[in-house]
Amino acid sequence: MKGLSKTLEAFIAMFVILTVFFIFFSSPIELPEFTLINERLKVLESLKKLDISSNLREYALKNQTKKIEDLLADYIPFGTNYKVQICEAICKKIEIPSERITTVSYYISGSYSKFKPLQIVVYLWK
Amino acid sequence: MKGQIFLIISIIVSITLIILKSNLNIKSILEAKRFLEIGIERKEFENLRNEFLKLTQINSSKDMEEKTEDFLRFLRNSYDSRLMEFRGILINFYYSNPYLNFSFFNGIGSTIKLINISLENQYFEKRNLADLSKFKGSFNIQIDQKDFKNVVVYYEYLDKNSTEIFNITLDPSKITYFGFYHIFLSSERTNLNDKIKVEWIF
Repeated sequence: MKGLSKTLEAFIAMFVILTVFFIFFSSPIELPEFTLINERLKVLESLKKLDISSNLREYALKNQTKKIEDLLADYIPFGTNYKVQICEAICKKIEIPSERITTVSYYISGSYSKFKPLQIVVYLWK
Repeated sequence: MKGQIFLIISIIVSITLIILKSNLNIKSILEAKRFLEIGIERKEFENLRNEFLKLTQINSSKDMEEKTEDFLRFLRNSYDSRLMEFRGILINFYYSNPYLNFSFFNGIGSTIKLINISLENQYFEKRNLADLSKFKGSFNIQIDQKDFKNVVVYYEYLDKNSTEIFNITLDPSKITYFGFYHIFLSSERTNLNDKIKVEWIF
């Protein structure tokens, strides 16, 4: 009898623990995405640096997106895909092969030779 | 007590699981994410601010009024499509002896109820300036040599009002451009604004 009551007690104890576990941990905990936010910050800083140190503006005015992508190559984290688009006030839609995309917009008013407001948009995805 | 050891252990383990879960503290993680996103918007705002300053380096004094307005409209359209708001008030002064011309451009997104612009005993007033409209005028200034004049501008926008005093350098043999840009960027996370002053003498 004593052995039976101990066994019963053990089962009740297991039941209590499992119930508490399933109530509190059954739904997966969704942590917010930080990686893409950090990358956005890095890319924005990089564009600012490139604006000072390179021909970023001239490339943007001539819509030379490939040259801007080459400039950015050293700053984009490994494993992240990216694409540059030069837009006026509103960007035309482009196809990106991912559902999780984030963007960075860097605005320019033109260069010393020309007034031409544009936005340099960098699309980032994994 | 000895007899209920399994039950005691189960209670201790259950309490430990509950403490673990509550310490995960999703709220502070979400707050950290929000803080980072606000940081990105601040960096963007810094970019816009710097571009307004660069504008005055790109354009000649006569074009400044038109170009600053064009740039403001461009940014308004762009941010509207991104579900954020970029708005601004632009006050441009252009001095060519003996006239100090001014323009007040309303890009705030609503009607500005009252504007007063005064210089010594000369005074201009405008009521109900509509969004994306401009109010212009000219002061007649008689000076023989380089001087500094205070122009006082008062304006009521949204539920606020602002009084700005601009100390403008006037040289009868030169041209002065003075610009004041009051810019705003707002989103669901943040409201940012700044006042920029630039002066160029040609």
